[in-house]
Amino acid sequence: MKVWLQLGVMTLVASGLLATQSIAGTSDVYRIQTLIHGASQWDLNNNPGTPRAQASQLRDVDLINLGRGRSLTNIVPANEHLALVTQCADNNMRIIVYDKTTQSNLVTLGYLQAISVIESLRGKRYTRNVISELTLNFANTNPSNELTGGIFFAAGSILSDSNQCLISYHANLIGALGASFFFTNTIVTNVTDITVTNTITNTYYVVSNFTVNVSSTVLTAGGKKLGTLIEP
Amino acid sequence: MSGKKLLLIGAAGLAGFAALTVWAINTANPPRRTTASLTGVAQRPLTQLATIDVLPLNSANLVNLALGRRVGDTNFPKQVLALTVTCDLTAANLIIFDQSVSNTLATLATNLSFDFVQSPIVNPTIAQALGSTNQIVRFIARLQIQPSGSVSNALRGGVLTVAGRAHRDTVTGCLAPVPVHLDTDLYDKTFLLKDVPRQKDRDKASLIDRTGLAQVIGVLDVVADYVTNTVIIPTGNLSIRRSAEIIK
Repeated sequence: MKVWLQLGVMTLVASGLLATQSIAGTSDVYRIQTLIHGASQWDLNNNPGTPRAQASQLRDVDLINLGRGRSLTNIVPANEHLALVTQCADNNMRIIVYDKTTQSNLVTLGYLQAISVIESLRGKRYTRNVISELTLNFANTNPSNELTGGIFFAAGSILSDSNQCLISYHANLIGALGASFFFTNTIVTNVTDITVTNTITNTYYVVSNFTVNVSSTVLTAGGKKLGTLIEP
Repeated sequence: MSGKKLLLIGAAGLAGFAALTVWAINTANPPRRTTASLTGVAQRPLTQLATIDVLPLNSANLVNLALGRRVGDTNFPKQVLALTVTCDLTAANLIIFDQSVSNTLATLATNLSFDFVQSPIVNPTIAQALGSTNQIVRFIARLQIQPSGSVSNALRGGVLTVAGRAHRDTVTGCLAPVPVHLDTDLYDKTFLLKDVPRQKDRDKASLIDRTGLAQVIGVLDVVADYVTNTVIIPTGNLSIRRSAEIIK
C-alpha cells in the first residue's frame, strides 16, 4: 500500500514537470501586454520652421495590426494575440502574432537577443536580469500605415521555476521606430491623435520621415500559457 | 631674428590659434555637466548559489573607473561627467571633463546612433524666459563605452541607451540650459524622467539651470579592484545641466 502511495506521488511529480517543461521541438507561448509611450515627429515637410512632436501610444493590438500589415483601425480577430515565444533556460525570445485557434505563428515581429544576463536563485525560483536588443519588423503592405519597425534596448527580468521555465517576464524598452506616411489625410489616431487638415491648395497633407521615439515602454508576459508552438 | 625663432613664433601662433578655435567651439557648444544615478546589478563572484548584487552608481563612480581609480575615490571632484551633443543633433558623446583646466580628459562613450523629434515650446512664459531657446528635443542615443582605465580599475566596454528630452537654442541649434523652474514637462512621469538628487550624485554647483533629463539602460564591463564583472543597468537617470566649463 505504501509503495503504491509513493508511486502515485512520483507520477504526480512527473506529470507536474511535463506541464511546466516545454517538450523538445516546441516552445511555450505567453500573451504579451504592452503599452508603448513615445513622441512622434510630424509636420516637418510642410512647416520646416516649426516642426512638431506629439505624444504617441501603441497598444498590443496596434502591434498585431502592424505586424499583419493592416490598418491600425482594423479590429483584431479574437484568435490573434501578441505573444512571447520562449523555451526553458533560453534567454533569447521572440515576439510573434499567435493564432490561438490553429496554434500557429502568423508573423514574427521581432527577436529579443540577450546581450548580457545576470541570474540569481532564491528558493526554487530563478531571476534572470537580461539586457536584450529587440529589432521589430512590421509588414509594410499598407502605404498609409507604413511604420517600418525599429530597434529597442530591453532591460528585462525573467522569473522562472527550478527548471528555468518562464513564470513571468517584465521589461522596460527604449528605442526608436521609423515610418513613412504618404499622401494620407487620415493618420491613424491610435498612433498620434493628430487631426490632420487639408492644406490651402486642397491637396493631401504629406508627412514623411515620421519617427516615433519610444522612450518608455513596459512589456509584460507570463501567467497561463496561450499554447505551444511546434518549431520547424 | 633667426629663421628658427620665426619658426617657433609661427608654431606658437598656430598653437594659440588652434587653442582659440577649440575655445570658440567649446563656448558655442560646451559639454553639459551631467549627473547620474544608475542602479546596476552584477553577478556576485565566488558563491555557490547564483546571487545578484545591486550596485548604485553615480557619475563620479563612472569617472573614477574610466580614469583607472577606485570606484569611491573622492580626490578629484573637478573631474566630472559631461554630455556633448552636436548642434545638428547627429551625435552624442559622454566625456570626462576637467573643470579646473576646462579640458576633456577622456571619452567615456561614443555615439552609435542618435534619433530625435523636436517641437516648439508653446508656453509663452517659457519661450520669453529662454530668449532664443524655444525648442524641445526628445532623443534616443545609443552609446558605446570606450575601453579606459588601468589594470586594477577600468571600464572595458559596454553599451548605453539614453532616452530623454533637452532644450535647444533655435538660432545655434545647440542644446541650451534654461532656469530649472521652467524645465518641466507634462510627460516626464510617462517617460520615467526625473532629476538626480544631490544625495545620489553630488554636484558642486547649485542647480540653477538645466538642459534636460534622460533615462538610461545598458551594460557595463567593469574592472573594480582587479575583479572583472559585467554590470547590467536596468534603470538609471541622467540630469543634463549647465556648461561643464563653469564652476559657481
